[in-house]
Amino acid sequence: MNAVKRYWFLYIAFFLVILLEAFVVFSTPNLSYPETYSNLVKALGKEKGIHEGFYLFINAILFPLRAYNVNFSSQVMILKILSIVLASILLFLTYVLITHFSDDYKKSFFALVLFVTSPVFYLMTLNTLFNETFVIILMLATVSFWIDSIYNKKASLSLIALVSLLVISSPLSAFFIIAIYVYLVLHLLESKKILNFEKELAIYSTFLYAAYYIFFFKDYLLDKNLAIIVQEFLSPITTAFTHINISYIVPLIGPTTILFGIYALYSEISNDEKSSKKFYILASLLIVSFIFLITRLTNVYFLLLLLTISLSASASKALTLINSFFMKSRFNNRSKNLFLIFALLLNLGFAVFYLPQTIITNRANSIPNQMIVFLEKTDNLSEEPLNILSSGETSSLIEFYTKHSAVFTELDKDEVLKLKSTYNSPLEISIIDFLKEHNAQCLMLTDFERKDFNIDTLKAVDLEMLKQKLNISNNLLYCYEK
Amino acid sequence: MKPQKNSTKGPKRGIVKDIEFIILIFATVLYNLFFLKGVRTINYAFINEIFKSKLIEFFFTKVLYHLSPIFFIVNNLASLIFILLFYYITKEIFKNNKIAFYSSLMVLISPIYVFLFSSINHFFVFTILFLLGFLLKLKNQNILGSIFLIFSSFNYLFLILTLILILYFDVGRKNKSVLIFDFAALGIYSYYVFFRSFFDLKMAYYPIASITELLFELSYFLSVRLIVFILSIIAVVWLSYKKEFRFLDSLLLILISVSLLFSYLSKYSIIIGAILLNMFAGVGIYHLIYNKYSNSLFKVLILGLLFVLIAFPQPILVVKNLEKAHRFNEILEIINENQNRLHNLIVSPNEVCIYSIVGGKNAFFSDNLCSDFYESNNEKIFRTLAIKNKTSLLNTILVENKRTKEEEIKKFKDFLSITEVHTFRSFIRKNNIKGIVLSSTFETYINQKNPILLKIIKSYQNESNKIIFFES
Repeated sequence: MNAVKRYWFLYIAFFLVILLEAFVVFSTPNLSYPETYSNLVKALGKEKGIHEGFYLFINAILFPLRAYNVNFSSQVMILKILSIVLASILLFLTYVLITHFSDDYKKSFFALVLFVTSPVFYLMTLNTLFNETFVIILMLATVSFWIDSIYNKKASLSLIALVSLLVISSPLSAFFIIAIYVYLVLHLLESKKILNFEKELAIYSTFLYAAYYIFFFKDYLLDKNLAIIVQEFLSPITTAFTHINISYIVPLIGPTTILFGIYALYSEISNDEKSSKKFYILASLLIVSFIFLITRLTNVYFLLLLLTISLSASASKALTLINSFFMKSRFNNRSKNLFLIFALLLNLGFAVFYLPQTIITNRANSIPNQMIVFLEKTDNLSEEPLNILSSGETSSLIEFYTKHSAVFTELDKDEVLKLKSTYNSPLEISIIDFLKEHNAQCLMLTDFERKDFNIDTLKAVDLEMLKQKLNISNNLLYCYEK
Repeated sequence: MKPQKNSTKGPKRGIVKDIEFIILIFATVLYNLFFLKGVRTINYAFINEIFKSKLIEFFFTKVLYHLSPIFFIVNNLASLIFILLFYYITKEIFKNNKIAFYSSLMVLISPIYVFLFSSINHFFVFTILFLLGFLLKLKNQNILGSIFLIFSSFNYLFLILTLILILYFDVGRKNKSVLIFDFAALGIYSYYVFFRSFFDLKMAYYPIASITELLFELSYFLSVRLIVFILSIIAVVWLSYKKEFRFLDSLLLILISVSLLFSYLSKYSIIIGAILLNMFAGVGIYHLIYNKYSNSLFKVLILGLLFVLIAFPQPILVVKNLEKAHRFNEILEIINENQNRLHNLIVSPNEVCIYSIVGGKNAFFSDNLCSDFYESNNEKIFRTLAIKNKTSLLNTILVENKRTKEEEIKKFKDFLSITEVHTFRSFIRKNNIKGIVLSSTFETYINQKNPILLKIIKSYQNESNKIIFFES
């Protein structure tokens, strides 16, 4: 009870943050990134990513809903709630990590506020659902248990379980395994003592990774990751920097977080005394994230989120330094507080200015609204499932959210190209014949198809022969009757 | 100064009391009897090669067709000698029975072992000679060791490995006569091998090894396997961390890395490197088993995963190679039963190489890549010395082969699409086909693709003969 009284403001702050999360999530009409959809399509097992823990997780949640034909908006609602839950877990774990680095709870709270005001947090959790977010959550949990184990000099059961879960959940866990090795190498370079369990952790995770991905999912790994590693490593490194822009990164992380974090790291490195093992973990994570950034192995947002978390964790350490600085100087306590409030406001200002921009622009660039209308009205279309001819981009949505099936999936790129060339060719081929040839009853015409196929000019006469099933804002779905 | 003793860790034990040694012999014999016997084949990539070189012909001429029991005995004896030599070398280097035992077990279940001792190839002879020379050098039998090493140096890789060993063991000695003997003998031998018999100059044109195949392909004969690499890295790091890494270990590392470098020129160069790498793998296993773990759960998990990683590829290796050997032996039987073989028979594209090389007759569908050695263009490549020209020539050969292969595939598809008797007859007449070699795998394949075609073919069959002749 004492602790509850003591940290009352923390609970209120968490509650406020979750309210903010909910506001951001529910003010968007859908989960806005196209990546979200493609991730969800993977969850269905259309691609080889089926074994990745996150997709299995989402599938497990959505499966009962899909079994009872729950409509599109309810499924999206569930996903929205899921994203809030994930964001809250991430927030909590970041707080746990920060407490390992700070002296008292006030400083950790300050660092947490820095983290909350960075737009990348919202981008990675609330606005989208990345597999990477799931990996980062597991990784943070593992790191905090690792730090706990350093005190006991023995690996706890939870650490072993978490590492196993992390490795099995995604091939991206190679990131964490490499970070362990970098950590061990840093220890060897500084001639510090390596604990027994840390060596065992490295060997165990490597063996598990090898057994799981190289033997059981060999094709998946060789198709994607290894090929990318080889290609990207050989490509000139300078070209890799072109997609990273400082003016893009600073507002996403937040200027105060960057300044405080780097200041604390710099003072830790320049310190003559030997730095603690915790900082080595942080440093190795940052080094590996830098390597991955150069070789373009992962999503940029994954690395930015990791960078933000690590910088806010070390920013809590910066507060101690700032305190001592103000103690020594002639400024009083009040000016220190003013300075900190100004720093927070700076971060917040960037966030307020930048967050709506990213979210709103991304919302505008996402899947067209016609498609959402279609998905919401899909129950009234027909009792039997229809075969719908559409372009690759929209077919995955049809397959995922409705009972109807798409003729082409994203994987049938050749077929879609053939379809495009047929539409664009001067030869008059009847659309109805084309539909019959592919055993499809309906033709979908969203902006994607209209842009690609140049359909309005060529086949306007043909379209009149088809019956309009769905005519809301645009002419969306045309079907013929036998 | 006190004289140094040759001391080994633990109490001294004789051969009879050396339990690991006895277990190893039993394991080798059982492995040979139950597994190696099943996958025994003739590696057709080497047959032309063997008959071309006088040096190799000396070893193999009479073994091939008629003396297959002798082939079996030779292979088994050689494999036993190989394992024993490997065991003693590892024991000599690491001074530990258990490490030697684990290393030898790793070699025994490696794909390289199957490659060396399940088929006719010349590599196992030279590998054994090399290991014997190495062991004798380690035991301070210098002249004898040099002789065996020199006899093993039949190509550039083995020559360089021999040179490294000679430099390592003989240069520092006061008695220079051994060194003089070494270089004189090596000079005479290499003069004969490289300039008189032109034996292995074309080594540089074999296809190179790919990393994916080396590490991840479970049924590939020349694969090193990822776990061996991981264990070796663990061993090297562990040895250097405990400051037990000695000069002899770095010699091993040098030999392995030279072999790996050469595998970029020729994929068969990987053999020596892969064998020697297993020594470090044994050290890795030893350390993993006898390490003091901080958590007993970690011990169970790590050792369990180690077992999975080592044991899991083995069934895949067995199943895939048993299939291959079965197909091979069936076609060999067919060739032996039918003495009146003819040119231009239809043979399954998978079996064309065996039929045309061992049977000595051309088949209707042909395969240019039967041998790894690019026989037809040897002369052309041999004359150009610049590496750039060699690689460009090799590329043209590969492109040519790909084109012809595509033509062959088209021909085969045309054949499989026949569904009427008169089109079948016109196909035979047009291409002047005399008959078909219908092995059981080919039969099931045709049955799957086109059962009507199989009925048409079967209508020509008089007896239960596997070669069906079409009457003109």
